[in-house]
Amino acid sequence: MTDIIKLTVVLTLTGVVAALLIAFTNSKTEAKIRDQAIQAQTSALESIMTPGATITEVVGTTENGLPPQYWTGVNGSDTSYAFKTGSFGYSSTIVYLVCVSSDGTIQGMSILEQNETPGLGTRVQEIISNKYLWNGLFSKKEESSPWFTEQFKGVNIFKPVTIEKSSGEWHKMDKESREKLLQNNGVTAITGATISTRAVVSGIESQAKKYLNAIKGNGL
Amino acid sequence: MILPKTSEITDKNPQVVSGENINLQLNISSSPHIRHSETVPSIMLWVIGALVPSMIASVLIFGFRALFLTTLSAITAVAVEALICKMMKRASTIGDFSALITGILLAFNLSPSLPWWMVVLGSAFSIAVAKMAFGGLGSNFINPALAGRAFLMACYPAEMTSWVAPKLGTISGINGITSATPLANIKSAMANGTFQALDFQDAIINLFSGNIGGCIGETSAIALLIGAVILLYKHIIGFTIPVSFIGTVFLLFWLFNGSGQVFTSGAIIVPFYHILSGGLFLGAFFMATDMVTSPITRKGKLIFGLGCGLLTFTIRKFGGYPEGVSYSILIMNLFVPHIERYTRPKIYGEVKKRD
Amino acid sequence: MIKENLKRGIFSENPIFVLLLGLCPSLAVSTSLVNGIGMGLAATFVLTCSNVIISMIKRLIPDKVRIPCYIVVIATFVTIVQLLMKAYLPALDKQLGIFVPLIVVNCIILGRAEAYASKNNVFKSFIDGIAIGLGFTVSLSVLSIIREVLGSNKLFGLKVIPSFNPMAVFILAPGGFFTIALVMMLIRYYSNRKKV
Repeated sequence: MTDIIKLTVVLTLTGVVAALLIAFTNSKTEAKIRDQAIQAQTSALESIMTPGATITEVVGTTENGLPPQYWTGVNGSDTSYAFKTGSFGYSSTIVYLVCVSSDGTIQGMSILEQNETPGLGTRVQEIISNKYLWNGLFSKKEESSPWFTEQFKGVNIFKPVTIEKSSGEWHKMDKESREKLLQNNGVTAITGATISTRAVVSGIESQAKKYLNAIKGNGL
Repeated sequence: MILPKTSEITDKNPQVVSGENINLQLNISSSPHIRHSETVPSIMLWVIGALVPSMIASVLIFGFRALFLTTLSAITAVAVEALICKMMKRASTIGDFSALITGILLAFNLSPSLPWWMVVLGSAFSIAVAKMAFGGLGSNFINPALAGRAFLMACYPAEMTSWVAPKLGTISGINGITSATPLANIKSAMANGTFQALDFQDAIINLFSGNIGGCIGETSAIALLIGAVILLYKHIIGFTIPVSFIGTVFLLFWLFNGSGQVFTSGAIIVPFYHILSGGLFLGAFFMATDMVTSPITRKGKLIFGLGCGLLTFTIRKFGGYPEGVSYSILIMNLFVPHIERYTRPKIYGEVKKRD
Repeated sequence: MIKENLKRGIFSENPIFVLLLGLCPSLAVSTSLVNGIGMGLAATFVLTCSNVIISMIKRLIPDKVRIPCYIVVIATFVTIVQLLMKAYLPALDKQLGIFVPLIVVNCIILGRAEAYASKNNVFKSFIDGIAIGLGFTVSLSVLSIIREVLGSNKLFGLKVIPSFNPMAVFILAPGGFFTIALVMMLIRYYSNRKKV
């Protein structure tokens, strides 16, 4: 009988001390973690909106098909809308921010979360760098964005989006063929990761279109 | 006879132990023994001979690059095997020609537009990892050529699935036109909903002669059949695996032919289209029948063939890839030990134990 | 003694290549060098802290409940590491994802707690934690470098070998097995040669 009491006391004490330690760390890091999340979101928003736009957050209701939360960017007479949406890829839900102008042209896009196959689907976030290890490591970091989302700029979500598989990836194309691709309202697929590519495209085609229509339909 | 301790066998070169310290008595029956003229090299030479018609067809269809890649793959395979034997201080095994066949079969499973160094890489992987790492001929558990193909498929999916247009009759090089394979056509037609509009009748004659896009050695059904007849006549392969493999694919595609009709003569063109396209004939006659990686009992062979057919059907019909012959054979290779255990024939006079 | 211990942790008792512990996280996170080092250091921190604490409280804990107590100690440090990472290294936290919480069940850590920290004094356990942790980090880095260079031809997001077409299989799961087998083969080959 004394044995079981001893065991219980020891286990309880260990648990209490552990909980106190975690609670202490949590209280110290909580604000910082929240800041990090907000900062990540702000920088993502700024990168996809037209530079210089005034960004306001709108917390909508989910009624009338409105997104639960979206942002408007006013730049002179142009208004663009940004919202978060997601679709299921090969092994995870790919969550992304997309910014469209009122006529449905994509202004910018940024993948926020994904957990796809390394080397294939994760390349939706790949940043191509042509610098080599020996000359690039200590030089200034280049400012560049992932090519996969970059190619969506100018694609209209009210027209069907075509996925080009045979022409190779966008970052390898020259200016002319990129323009030609955009005329077809097309994007290139990631080699070997057609499913992830298709997921992003279909998410934009269905979800983004629905949201934009809902926002415009509400007279905003 | 002094038996070596287990630690000695694992620590030292096994050949030193078996060759000098002890005399292993390997003859288990009393003489006289019947000697058969059939040896491993002679069988392998017949297989190479059986592959010659396909090679000729391939040169006609894809040009001399097909021959170049096949030769390169074969040479690499033999060289890697010789090198590994030397590194492991073993007697060279290249004289049994099995490495040569692995090299040829690997090239037959690759696109004629593949860069030459990828062929070298795949061939080296086939021999070094899939065959020699497990102990050489007879000890590998999966077909080395198909393992090499799967490796290349995982490494370079884009290059492995870009094809060239066939040019039957004109012997020239590759001009870089990408052309889809018949199976890729079906897959995209099903995705776009234009499956009913496909003209199957027209395609059959091209499929039979091999005037289609595809891997080096898989396109010409007629050339593969000539090779298969040679092997069947020489009793190097049996009927069981190829017939059950191809038959399963045929029946399943006749049943689920996409038109909603079941086993009708009108829909019979779909299963014909399926068995003639892709690597089914090459796989069924030359790879699934590989003596090392297929079961030895007749019942086991039947199960093996049925499994390959079912998996091929599943991958072609529901999978992400248009073609599934190579993966289905590889998967069934893994089941061979189990198949053999459950289909082991009873010893004469043995009574089944009752529990 | 410190030097000996480090040698033991990195070479003769290397957790991945010799003891064959913690293979699951090693296969999963060794796809890039940054991930490998991040995971290695996180595990080293947890291992050292848990070794010290367990060595301190080993006399207070009855034998019957020692495993749950160890797990609670380890889980506490893992949670702390995760919170700190989220706060100060959010990018790395995103990359490592589920594998940080999974350090709790990393057999290296529980293994050292059971086999070493519960039998030795605080200082020795501290050194053991650092030595084994560094061994884990070094092995993960070796695996990561091979896999990242062969599989994506990159290190720290920069190209490595000019005009080399990376073999994608090396950053997939099979490539992890190939690489571990390859490194172990080389280690065995050289250690066997030394003996002869």
